[in-house]
Amino acid sequence: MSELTKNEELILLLIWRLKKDAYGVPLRQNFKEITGKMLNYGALYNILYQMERKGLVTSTESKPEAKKGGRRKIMYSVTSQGTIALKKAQEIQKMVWQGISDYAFDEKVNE
Amino acid sequence: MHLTRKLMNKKPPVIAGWLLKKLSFYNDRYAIYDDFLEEYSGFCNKKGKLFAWLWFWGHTAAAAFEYFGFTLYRGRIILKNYLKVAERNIKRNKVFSIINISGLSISMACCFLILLWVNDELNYDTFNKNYNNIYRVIDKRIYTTHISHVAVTSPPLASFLKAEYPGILKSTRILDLKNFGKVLIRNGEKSFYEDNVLVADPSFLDIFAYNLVRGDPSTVLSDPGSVVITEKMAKKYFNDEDPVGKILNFADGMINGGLTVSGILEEVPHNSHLKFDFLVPFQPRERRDNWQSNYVLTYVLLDDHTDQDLLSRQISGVKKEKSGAEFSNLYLQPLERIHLYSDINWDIKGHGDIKYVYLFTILSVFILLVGSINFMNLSTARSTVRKKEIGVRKMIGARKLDLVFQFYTETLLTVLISFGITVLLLVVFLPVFNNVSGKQLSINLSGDLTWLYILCSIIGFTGILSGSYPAVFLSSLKPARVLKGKMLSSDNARSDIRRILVIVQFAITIITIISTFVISDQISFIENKNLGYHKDNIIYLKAGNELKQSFDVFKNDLQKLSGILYVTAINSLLDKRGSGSTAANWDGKDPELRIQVIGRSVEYDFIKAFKMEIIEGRDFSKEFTTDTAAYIINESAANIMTQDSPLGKWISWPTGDKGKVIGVVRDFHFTSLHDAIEPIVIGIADDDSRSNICIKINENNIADTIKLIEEKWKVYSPGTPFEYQFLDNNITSLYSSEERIGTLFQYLTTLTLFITYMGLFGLVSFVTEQRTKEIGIRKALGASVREIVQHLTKEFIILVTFSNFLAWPLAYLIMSKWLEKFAYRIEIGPGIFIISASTALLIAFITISYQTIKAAVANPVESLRYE
Repeated sequence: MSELTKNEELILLLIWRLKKDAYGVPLRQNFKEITGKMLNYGALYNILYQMERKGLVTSTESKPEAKKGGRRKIMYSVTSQGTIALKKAQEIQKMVWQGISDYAFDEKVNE
Repeated sequence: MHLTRKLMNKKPPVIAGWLLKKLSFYNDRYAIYDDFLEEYSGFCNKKGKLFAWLWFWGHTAAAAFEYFGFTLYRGRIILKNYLKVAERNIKRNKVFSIINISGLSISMACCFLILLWVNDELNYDTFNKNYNNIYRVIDKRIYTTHISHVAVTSPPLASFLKAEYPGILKSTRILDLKNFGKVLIRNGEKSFYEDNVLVADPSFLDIFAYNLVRGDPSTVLSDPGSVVITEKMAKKYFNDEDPVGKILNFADGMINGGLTVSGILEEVPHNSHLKFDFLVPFQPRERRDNWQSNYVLTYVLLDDHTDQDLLSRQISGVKKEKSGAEFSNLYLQPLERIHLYSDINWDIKGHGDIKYVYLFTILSVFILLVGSINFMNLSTARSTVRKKEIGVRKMIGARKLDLVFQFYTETLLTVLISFGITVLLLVVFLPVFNNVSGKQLSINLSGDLTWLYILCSIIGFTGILSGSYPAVFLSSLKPARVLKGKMLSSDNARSDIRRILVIVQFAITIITIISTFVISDQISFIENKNLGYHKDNIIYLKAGNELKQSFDVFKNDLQKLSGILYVTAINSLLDKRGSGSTAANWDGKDPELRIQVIGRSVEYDFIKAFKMEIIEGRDFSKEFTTDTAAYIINESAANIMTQDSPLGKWISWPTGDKGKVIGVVRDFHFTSLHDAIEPIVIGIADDDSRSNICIKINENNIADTIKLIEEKWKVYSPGTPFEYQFLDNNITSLYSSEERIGTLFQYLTTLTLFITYMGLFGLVSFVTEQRTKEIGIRKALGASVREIVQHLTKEFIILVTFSNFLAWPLAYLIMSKWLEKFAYRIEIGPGIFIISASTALLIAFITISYQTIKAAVANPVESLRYE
């Protein structure tokens, strides 16, 4: 199985974190908060689609919101395969970043 | 995140929303649209609607971009690559790109403006909410010699129809006083001559939707002594005072005295076939039972369920019955046909014509085609340059579809840039266009969005059409051949299509050249045609009541002045309709004969002043006191009256007037050349009839002479403004709509030429560049400059010549149809075709020669080094 791209990894993680509230708008907003970049909807849905095709997430329609004109949202949730992929990403992350201190990339203070 | 009622009130942009929904197809979900809505409403609340709108559009575009990129191989990265390459190509060939883009922009802008014009013409009178149920009554007169449709009807007709036919809800008569000359209107110090006075029944405002700013439509015209004026007139006569209740003085044959302002109208919309500034009710003394006279227009409002065909047939015999006019057949003309389909005599002026609408629609398509063909030609011509790139792309895995997409992207980019420039051009040139065409076209985001649909269609059409050929063509080049380096100088199959395109383009251009010549010729023919009289240096003045009485003294006094040649008068100017009658009688008249005879009353000297030619008998003369009961008739009248000389014969009218024919004058055109000459009987005017004073002045020192006349005027007609007009201006204004169309056509043809020849220029420069080596070799082998130039230009000249054969029959067809509209028209002689063809060739020569001569004189050493 190929590795997750950076964006895919981030979004997959967000879906996992948001649990019940994982649909378009909050995914996008949270993405912005974390990375500082605005992911436009086209890209977002492309990624979601790709991941769904790869079997990493599934989508379900929620019940209509209990108010007039309420929308039906499409909720995404991580599948078991997705979980595996996340785990793998986490491991790689740990291995690569092991031992590097929090200050390793700070500006060197004048000695 | 509250999808409350707030969302319901704040609608997102419709088009963008639709686009998004279409994009969701891809996902098979509509989630994206709802997501958008959520954020959108948030933005609406926090940052205002404009921001939200922009956000919506921006993100829709970005989403679309992503989606499309996704379908390509390697995703949207390749789309970015396409755009980069496209941009580079455009920048690298600056001259070429400029030609391409400007050609396309101009043609799109022209096409759009024309379609805007066409749309306006097709939407006359649509502001009326009763649009579908308003009809006008037309009289189809079947005379012995011809059939004539006239718009004038008898005064009692309107009320009679309403009473007799339950399908008619309301009816009104109207009378446009423009046909009787100007009316002098005064309020205290301010007095002006106005010619936009309309007389109508009170039901007029119920039938038509002219809005009242002040006043109640159901009562505002009920008092015969009232008048309704437009806001502009209110300002003009009353400044900022409230005009309602105040009195305006009218001095004219039909209305005399003071009228009280009872209401104020909004300005009449420009797309109304009736134009007026003053609305006056009919006076009760208008003879209500007079079925013999015809001078009013009758309009009716039908009930929704009425069958208009049936009703039309039912009313056809009404006038016949009531007046004994055997030749009369009434029928109903729907409002929607009045502006464009009225080829009707005795009608109000200012109608358009459906033939022009057709002409211009065809022109707009032509222009767009020319621009597109240009674009296609130039794009494909440079294809050879891209061959290597295409070969490489195919090698690394590009499918044909991808290549097509790539070149479509390039095309679309160019089209979009052109679009931007088109919008700029439009903003700048719309006022100019309005000026030339006499319309008030406007484009704004509120109200009628038809222009937007037109614009989008033009862009869509151009983009798809112009894009497809180059895209398909370029993507089908075979890489193997390319990479081996075999650069064929002209690929046969491809060149054929290109040749056809050039031929079509030139054919269109030549057709427009020919048309312009024909139209200009026709217009100058009309204006300069020997009218049968001389109207130069004649001014006319409207005589008030005072002056009518003291006319003889005024005339004597004026004639003492040195610059004055003749002083005369006529009851109704030559270019106005005046009145006519079918009930004229003369010795030996065939009782079955039905023909319309026009009557005019003039002052002595009239024939002389206008240099009309007496071909039999004599002119009026004061020496013969019996001349007050004498008539001069024109040739057409004489021909109808009798085979031999009409002199001495009696003519009598139902009013009791009678007279003997003393002279016959050569036929002259008194209405526009659209109408054929009708028989006219001229008598001597009594005091009341000398409404229009015509003064022929010496062409030297015109300004001084006019000053002297003004001084005399102040003595004899104090209190009335001195307003004069030159008669020749007046008459040519009859053709103002023709003139406008002619001018418009000229400009458009020039632009078409410009586009085509620019295209030719680009094409030629490219081809010559391609053949540099060939030229170098020829020179090295001893060819002279002349021979080389000949060789290079041969192909183009053949193409242009060939286009002529295509163009001539089409042009002839289109133009003859147009000329049929005129009663007097020019013949389309071979001269025009030859001139057009020569012009086209000449300009082609000039365009080509620069490039070819430059190539031909180039040093072969240089060109053979060319890599």
